[in-house]
Amino acid sequence: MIAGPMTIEHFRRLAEAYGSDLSRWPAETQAAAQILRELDGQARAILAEEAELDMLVALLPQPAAAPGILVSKLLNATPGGRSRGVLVWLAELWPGEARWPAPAFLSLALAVGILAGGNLPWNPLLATTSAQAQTQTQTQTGDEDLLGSALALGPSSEDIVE
Amino acid sequence: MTMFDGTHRREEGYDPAMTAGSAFDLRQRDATLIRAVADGDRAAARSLIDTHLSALIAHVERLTRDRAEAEDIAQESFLRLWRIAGDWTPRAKARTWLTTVASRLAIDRLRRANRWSDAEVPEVEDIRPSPEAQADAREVGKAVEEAITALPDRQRAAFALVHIDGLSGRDAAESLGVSEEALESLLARARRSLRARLAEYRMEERPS
Repeated sequence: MIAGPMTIEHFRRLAEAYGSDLSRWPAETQAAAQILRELDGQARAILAEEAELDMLVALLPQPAAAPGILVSKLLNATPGGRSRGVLVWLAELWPGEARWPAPAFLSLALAVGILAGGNLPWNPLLATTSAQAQTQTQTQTGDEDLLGSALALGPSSEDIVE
Repeated sequence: MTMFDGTHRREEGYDPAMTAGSAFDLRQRDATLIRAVADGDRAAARSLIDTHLSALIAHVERLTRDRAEAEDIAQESFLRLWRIAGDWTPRAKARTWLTTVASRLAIDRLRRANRWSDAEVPEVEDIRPSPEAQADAREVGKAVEEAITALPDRQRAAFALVHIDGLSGRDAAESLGVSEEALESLLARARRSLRARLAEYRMEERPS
């Protein structure tokens, strides 16, 4: 709430900045502006003049649709997005009510993996190399991943208070 | 995954009453969706994307004048939202947060590439040729978009934040790193320029 009644000069300055819709004006000015609008024909004339531009701006074309690939990227980047994506993919392989083949496939894949791993002799050198390769891969992935970028995070919702 | 709808919200425990339009309701609804994203709910993520992504890209494109760069910045803004989703509190609307983050990213990039001017530019008189008196809404909308694109950088950003993206003066000023008084000055000059450029389209000059 501003102190005292609003002058027509202040009213005009705000209208020239925020337009004819008082609800878009700074909250603390709205009550005084509404009173002035009711009482002063000059204030109403100022709003009518600004309303012409507001009406033109309302004719701006609708934003073009976002590309599907960008939507997919963002969905896959949600927490748990990738793992869920695999399950969805598996479920789509067996649509309808027959849900059992997906777990069966996972069990089979697990069994094959254990068998294959059990047949390989354990080699410390191979294990070290593999670990280094894994670390390197993670580093590269982190460098390429937008989520791991060095840029600081945006403000928290605490920082932007409405 | 289908678009988030009222039925889905009820199934997932969302309150359909939150679809009301008050700022408080919007903040609560956004908070519910964002917390659901943190829990791995793709439908909630899809709802936020469907609601905000296109407008966010359009906003950034107004700043950068480059569609591909706008998509990249919008993507980065959403990724940042996903990262802080678990800590989200309902004190801001998702749209305000995304627009603020995207604006800062865009302006930072433009500054680094010497494509952003903080200089004040003299107001321009209308230089466009007269349009057809019977121009339809699409033509007018295109003319408005062109007139906005032609504004100086800071005026364009201020106008887009407040008059297209619906941010409050305070939030827009914070996004641009200026005082509210400076923002109001930018807005007033932007609106004066637009009125001059779009004078032919004013309602009183159209045939009845």
